Amino acid sequence: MLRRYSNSRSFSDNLKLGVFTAVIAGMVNVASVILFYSFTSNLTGHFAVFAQEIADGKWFQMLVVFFWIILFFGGSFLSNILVINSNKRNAFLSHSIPMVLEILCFVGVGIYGQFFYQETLTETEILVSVLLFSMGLQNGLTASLSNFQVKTTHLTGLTTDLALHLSMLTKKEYRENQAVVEKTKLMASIMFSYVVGGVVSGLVIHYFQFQVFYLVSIAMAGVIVYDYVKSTLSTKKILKERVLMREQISRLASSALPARPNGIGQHKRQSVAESK
Amino acid sequence: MKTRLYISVIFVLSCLSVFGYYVFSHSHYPEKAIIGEWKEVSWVYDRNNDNEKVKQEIDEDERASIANHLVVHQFENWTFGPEKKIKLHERNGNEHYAKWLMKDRGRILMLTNPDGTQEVYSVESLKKNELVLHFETDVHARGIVKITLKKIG
Repeated sequence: MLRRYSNSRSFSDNLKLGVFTAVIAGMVNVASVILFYSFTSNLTGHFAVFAQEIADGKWFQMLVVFFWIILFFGGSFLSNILVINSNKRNAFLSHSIPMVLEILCFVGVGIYGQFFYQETLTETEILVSVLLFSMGLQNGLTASLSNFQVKTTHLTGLTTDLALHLSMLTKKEYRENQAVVEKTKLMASIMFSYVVGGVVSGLVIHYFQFQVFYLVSIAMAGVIVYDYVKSTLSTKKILKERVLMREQISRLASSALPARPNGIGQHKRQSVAESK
Repeated sequence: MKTRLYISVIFVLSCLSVFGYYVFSHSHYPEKAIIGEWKEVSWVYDRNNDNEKVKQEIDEDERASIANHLVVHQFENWTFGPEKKIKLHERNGNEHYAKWLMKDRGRILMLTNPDGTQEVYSVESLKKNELVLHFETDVHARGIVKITLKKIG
């Protein structure tokens, strides 16, 4: 799910990544709306508010929103920098760093919210900044890994694309096109997962409050560990299969070659060495 | 190449930190500006009736019927304290205490009553001497009620 990059990813890889990160985004967004009265997984509304604050001449309010936008941007930028600078050997590490940073952000927000939060505006704005940065990290990571196929923190573009794909599926030629069908399934799954994440968060937050961010962190850590173990096991399996295949080939080769008369090969090698 | 990259990263992070510090050191402005004593000046519907050109004041009886779930309709003066306490009071000595909080960059004012009930108002404008609050009523055709307060202390 995390190791493979761009075109080497399968539909299943993108589906798993999309579903999981959409649940996280839905949970975080609903939690932040309930706790902070502010969206943290999408920026369209913030851009509108940014423009409105400029029009109203509320410069400090405008700067706060501008800072939020920069942090989301920075998160996405950082994720992609890590992905494009990774190689085959450190792919998993590079790809999981944004998720680890995201976990740290969630744990930080959870701890601060649970033990220190006085509900002041400054605190709220800083916590929203942290969550926006983490959502930027997540969106950058999923988009970068999946070659822009998976974006899970906002649904405006996805809803448009899903509508277009569903309208395409009304024609038989597109229904037989596997790429169109898979993309439609992927988008529908992301949308559904986002809503499920939001509903779960809305239901549990009244009991857990800020501790909901620990749940999200635990789920993310679990996925990283699962993906690491799975990819390590599959790498070991591939290596083992390769060794077995090599042995088989060499066995087949030795049994298929005719037996050489003694000394011929040796003589040839000696004559080559002498000529050198 | 790597040194240049590290310097760029440190530079960007430093700029962001300074910018963040500057922004957040001023972000408590609405919480500061609201502190003090405010007096209600008017209660009006955001939308007029067809035949009305000037917004009509909502009278006492109507206030009671549209805002009976809110404590604020019973009081004329609001005193916001720095400890997040608000005193709603009238000249006859009738008083009510609650906790106030601002959310969403100061665009939302939340009052929490001693019994745990919460009232949410949208802060339409907060100036040095004027505070305009909006709240939605069940009278959907007339929409939002606009409460204007003037600072008196």
